[in-house]
Amino acid sequence: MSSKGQLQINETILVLIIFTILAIVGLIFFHNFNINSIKSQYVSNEKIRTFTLLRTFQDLPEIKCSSQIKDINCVDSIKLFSFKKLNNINFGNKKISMELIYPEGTGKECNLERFQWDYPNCNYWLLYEKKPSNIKSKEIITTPVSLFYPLTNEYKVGLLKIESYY
Amino acid sequence: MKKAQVEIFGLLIIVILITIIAIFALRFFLYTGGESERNQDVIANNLLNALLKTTMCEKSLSDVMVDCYNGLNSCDSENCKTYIVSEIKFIINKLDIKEEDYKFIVSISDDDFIKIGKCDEKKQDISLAAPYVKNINSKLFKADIYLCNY
Repeated sequence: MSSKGQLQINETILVLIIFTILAIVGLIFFHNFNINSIKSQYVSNEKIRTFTLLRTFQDLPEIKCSSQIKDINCVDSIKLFSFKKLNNINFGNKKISMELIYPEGTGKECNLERFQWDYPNCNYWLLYEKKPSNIKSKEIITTPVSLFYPLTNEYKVGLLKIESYY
Repeated sequence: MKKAQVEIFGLLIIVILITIIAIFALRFFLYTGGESERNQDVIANNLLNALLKTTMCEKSLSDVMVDCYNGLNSCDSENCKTYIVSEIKFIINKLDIKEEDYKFIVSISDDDFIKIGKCDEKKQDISLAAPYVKNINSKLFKADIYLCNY
């Protein structure tokens, strides 16, 4: 039979063990929670970045319609041909494309190499593409834009599409 | 230390532990996963801009609408208004926006000329493009677009 002192020591050890287990479980929970919150914050920040890009992309001087008289809110279809050739642009892991949706086109992709043969009868421009090796999820956002065709002096409706890879 | 003091000390530790756990649990349950940025306003503005600029029958859509209002048929169609409405519906349909999710209103000289879409503009969660107002051929042309649940 244990004496009263031994019983008290056993009780203390038991309390310490339970406390340690609780502390470890708490730490694991806290760590997982932290990791998840950092991941969701990253995705949220990336979404904001993508929306900002969606808002500002058509205002880039590399593709925006140029006029010395007034500010025209449209994208120059001829400038889109050379956009992919720009080397100093980095939008992160994204794919940016433009598609002509009205009037309906031929479905042909527009390439700078085939400009004189395909323009203005092509209707899809791949503007930027950088894919990570491991894609866990992707999000697509689109916005309509006014596409200007300088050779025929016509405005058409295009769809700017940004795919973000996480 | 007396026995009573030790017990109060133990109780204090338990209270502190429970408070910490409660704070984390509350933060975990109330966490909404970040603010989702609304881009509907941008889409509404871009859509209105792209629609009204679009060249139709060698004129901009806004000019074609004013011509139609004045009784001129720029597109040589049987009914210019029916033609304009069908073309606008075609463009918006290509953007995967359902009829319930938008409303496109054009008024010329304060007369409602075109009203397309079933979106209720009185709803609170709608996105509205900045109204396009222009004087075309001495007629006040006004166009609005509302997007809801898009």
